[in-house]
Amino acid sequence: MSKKNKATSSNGISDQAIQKIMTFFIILIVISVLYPLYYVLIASVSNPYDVYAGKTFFAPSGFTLEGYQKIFKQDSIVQGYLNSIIYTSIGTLVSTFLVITSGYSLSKKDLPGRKAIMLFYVITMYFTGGLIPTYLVVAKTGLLNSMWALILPGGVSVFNLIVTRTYFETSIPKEMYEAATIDGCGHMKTFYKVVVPLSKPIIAVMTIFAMVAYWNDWFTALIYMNDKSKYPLQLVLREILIQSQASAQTMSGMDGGYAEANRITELVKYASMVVGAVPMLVAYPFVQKYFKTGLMVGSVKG
Amino acid sequence: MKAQKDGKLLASPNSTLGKRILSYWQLYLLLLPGIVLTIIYKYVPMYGVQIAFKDYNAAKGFWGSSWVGLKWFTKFFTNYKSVEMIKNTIKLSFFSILWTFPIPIILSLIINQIQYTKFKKVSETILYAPHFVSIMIVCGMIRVFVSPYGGLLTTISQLLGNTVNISILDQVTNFRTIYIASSIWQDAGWGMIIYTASLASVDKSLHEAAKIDGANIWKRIWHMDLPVLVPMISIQLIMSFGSLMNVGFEKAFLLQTDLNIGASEIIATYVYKQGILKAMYSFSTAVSLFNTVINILLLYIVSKIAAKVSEVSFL
Amino acid sequence: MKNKTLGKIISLMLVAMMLVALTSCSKNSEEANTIDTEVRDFDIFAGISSLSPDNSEKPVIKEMNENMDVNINWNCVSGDTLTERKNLILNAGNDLPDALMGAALTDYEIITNGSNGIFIPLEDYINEETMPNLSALIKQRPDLLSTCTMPDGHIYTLPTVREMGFDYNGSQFSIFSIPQFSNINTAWLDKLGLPMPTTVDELHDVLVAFKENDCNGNGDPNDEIPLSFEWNHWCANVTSLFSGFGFTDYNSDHRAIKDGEVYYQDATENYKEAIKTLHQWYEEGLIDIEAFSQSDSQYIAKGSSSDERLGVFSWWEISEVAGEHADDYSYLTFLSGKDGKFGVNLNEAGTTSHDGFAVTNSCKNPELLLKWIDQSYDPIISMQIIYGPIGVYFEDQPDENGVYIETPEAGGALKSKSEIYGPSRQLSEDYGTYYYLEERAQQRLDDLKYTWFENVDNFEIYPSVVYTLDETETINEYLSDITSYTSEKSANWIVNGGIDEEWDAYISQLDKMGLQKLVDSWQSAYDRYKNVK
Repeated sequence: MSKKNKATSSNGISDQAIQKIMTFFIILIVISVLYPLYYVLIASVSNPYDVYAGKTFFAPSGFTLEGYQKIFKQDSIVQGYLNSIIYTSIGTLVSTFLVITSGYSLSKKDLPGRKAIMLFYVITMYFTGGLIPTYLVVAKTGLLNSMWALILPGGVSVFNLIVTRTYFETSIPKEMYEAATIDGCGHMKTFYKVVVPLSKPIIAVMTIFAMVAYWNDWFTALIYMNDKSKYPLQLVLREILIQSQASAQTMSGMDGGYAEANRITELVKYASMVVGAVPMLVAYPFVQKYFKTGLMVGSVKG
Repeated sequence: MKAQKDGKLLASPNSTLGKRILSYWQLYLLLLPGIVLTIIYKYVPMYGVQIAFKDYNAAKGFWGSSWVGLKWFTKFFTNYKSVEMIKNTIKLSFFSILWTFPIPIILSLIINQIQYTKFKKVSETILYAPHFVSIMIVCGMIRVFVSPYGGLLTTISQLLGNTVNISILDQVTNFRTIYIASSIWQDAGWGMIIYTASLASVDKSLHEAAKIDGANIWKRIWHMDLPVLVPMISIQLIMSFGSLMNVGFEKAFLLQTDLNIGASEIIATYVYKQGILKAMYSFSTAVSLFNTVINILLLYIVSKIAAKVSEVSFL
Repeated sequence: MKNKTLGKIISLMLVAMMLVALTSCSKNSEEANTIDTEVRDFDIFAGISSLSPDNSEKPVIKEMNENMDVNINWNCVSGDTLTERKNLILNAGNDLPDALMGAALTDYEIITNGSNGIFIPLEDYINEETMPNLSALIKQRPDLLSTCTMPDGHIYTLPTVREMGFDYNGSQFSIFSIPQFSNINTAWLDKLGLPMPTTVDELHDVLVAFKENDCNGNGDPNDEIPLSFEWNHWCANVTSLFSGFGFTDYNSDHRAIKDGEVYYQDATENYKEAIKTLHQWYEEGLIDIEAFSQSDSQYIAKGSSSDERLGVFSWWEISEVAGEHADDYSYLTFLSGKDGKFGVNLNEAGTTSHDGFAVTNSCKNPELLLKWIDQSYDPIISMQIIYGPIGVYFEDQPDENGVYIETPEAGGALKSKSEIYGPSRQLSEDYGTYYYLEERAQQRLDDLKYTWFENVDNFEIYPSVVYTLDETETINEYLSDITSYTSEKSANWIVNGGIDEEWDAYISQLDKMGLQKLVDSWQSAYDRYKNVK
């Protein structure tokens, strides 16, 4: 349609030009964000003392793979990866299910007790009994040393719940509900037949949030897992790092030397971060594509 | 009209409470697992809060430890740094919110408009990546970048003709800047996610229609995209202020030096140092309680303001 | 209507809370502990090095188990898991293990758990019959038991002895006596034709010369750092240079003792003078501006970078920081000050610790368990606990003197993998009898004895005391704030000056913060220690 070109607005700048400017602007930002990431990658394969001497701003110096070697030599790494994959998958399923269903239910403005239930949840964001009482309850409910200790006590993430609820309140037009009821759907049917397909973006977001939270969590495992074989990846990595630091301290008094042990520690620090983060970076694009599926074009007219 | 048609399934606002509860029974079912979990794992342990007013002794347990009233609060408020650390916490958090809040919004609006999809996807992934860099590494990088001996900033600065002969990290005035700048780098892309998702619900064909009607890109963003984000922005803002006092301890601790401590000592770092010699459960619980009270206050105030401005209610 | 629902929820919560509270109350009542001499199974919570496998897999443990026909169920944790878990176990009170081994128990934890009955007293078991090895050790070191006796008179934890020291004037001194070695770039001294400085003023002039000249020959006269250190660091701090002001400040709590009187080093006039002088040097650009913020890695990077950059630095050892430039540096031994002023406060260096092994009240057969752990005081087993097993860390066969020698793989990394945390013994006489002291350690001991101790004339050291619960509470209450305050003020004074004007306010603030009470606690613990002797 030739009319499209009319979109050279009254400002005289064509949309094409603005596209180019925006893209350029984003490129600048992406480069400045990218550089430190690149730097981390370099640092993970350079001699740490060259890194700290400021020699590695553009390229590695004193190339070494020792950090990665040290990590992958540990038998616990493979088990850690496996554990993390299991915990993250199941945790994400549970968490996303709870958040989406609860968020949807609470988005109904005339649900009786809605405000009370919201208050019920919000209180838990602010008041907590602390580590020991929580630990005791977890122990009493028989979850110690089990995967469920990493998933259930977290309960429902209230922050995510609120965001989800807001999304449902504002992004699903009333007409969809009306159409569903005319078709004879009850609440649950409306939910999974109509609402869910339209909410792919928010489900994707909650999935990412949950995935990342579970993947990065090491503290709950530290508290509740007795068997080292059940440690998730981040905890394994952390242990390797902490021990590296600790043995560096004790080595001052004997051969081997602190400087050497410290060097290894630094390498392990960078390498373990890369090793831990890569899976999440790889996973993101898969979830990202759901951001594009929004409202079905044409499902709502006028 | 509606009431008669859907009497069986969807209650109208005019029916009795009882009928409404019944009609929504499926939703209550959906809510049940979350509520049960929360009761068991969040509410039951709440009796632990009382040790903020007690002197927790492991042998006597939670119920047997003696009451000490406001002892911990007094300790917290009367130590030589109390005013400073509360001020630092608030300042750090407030300015962090101020600077880091708008950026994800702006970025998501702009990126949403870009039409080169591959570029979009790649950009989003890169922007989101810093979120995964561990704080220890971020602080290590900061130290190298701002080091007066061969640091990146120093080198650039020298190229521009200045000599740097102070330790940048040690300057009290630089601490917040460094802290916030690195936070922007780390979290802008991550913060974008929720806005990008919201914008995905805007029908593209509406944009096309508006274009044809002659609206330029700014008008379109302002009138079509931004309103979609407003509820989400409100909620995020409310929750940011509602956790203002919870500034994390790790980054401030790792960037803290004896010289910049005037700005870098926040509540969390102070409590941590107190707890090194022995685990001070009572003290840290009391401090958390204090933080909570302030947070709730802020939450209340900001949500009231947001309700007036954007008609989004928090509860 | 809304209030009703809210009310319902709240009352449900209250009921739930009360139910749980009632049930959790009961855990506080101690179960009567019956001794059962048939029991040969024990649960032990143990700290381990996270690079090492579980204790159950270690050959030395297996050997110990076989010798006593005992089975141990291990719960091994490492790193900071250890602290969190230990806290949970001791504080949450459910499922106590039979013993805690290598768990880094603090005095506070020992006293508290001892007095409330969670740890049982062990003194009745320390005899020839139950613990022959420990008894033999006590004969060699009669003071050993008093170091692990708590103020209430009981022993709740077993001692560990680690002597890495040397003889000097009839007394034993530890390798940690002087942790901060000052090192000076002798290559630069030679280049500039300067003699080794022996006084503080001479050092100042040398530093100025370092600053102004292109000592490392790379064409840039400005990249030399005359004096570098890490303020408040245990071995990278610069306090050895303070000998010219009459003191050194190696103790991280800044505790010092003179003629039996304990005092706070960083509140003395000597200290004031030292800081003032450092500020002058800072103004002259002689001090590394990153001294207050750099990490170990940054420090070491500076020392070992390809262009030599450091004039004078401080560390445990030269080669670690100087790297390939190590030969250009030598020790800068204690300087004297104005009018020959001189003073050294040797570092507190206890040879004993007592955090290695505690038995809880849920242990049904303490006698057997203690018999089992007593094996760790046997010299050969102890050697393997500290370093690693024979056949792995040590060669299978001892040499012609009957002394075990290290395998080629021996070293820090292997030690981390093989060592076992727990009670052990390492007496000075063990070296050369069962195994040899590492070369680097021996070198350092020699350097201390023949070089550094040359001018030391003050050998008074605050001993390894045991604090009462009250003293520990006091110390915990005040120490953190006081040392933080000192660190902040001192860093500020060195960089920005102003110590003269602010000194009085500093002293009175320290008093307000409870400095006197803190020092009194230190003093009373010391007095008690002296009386017992």
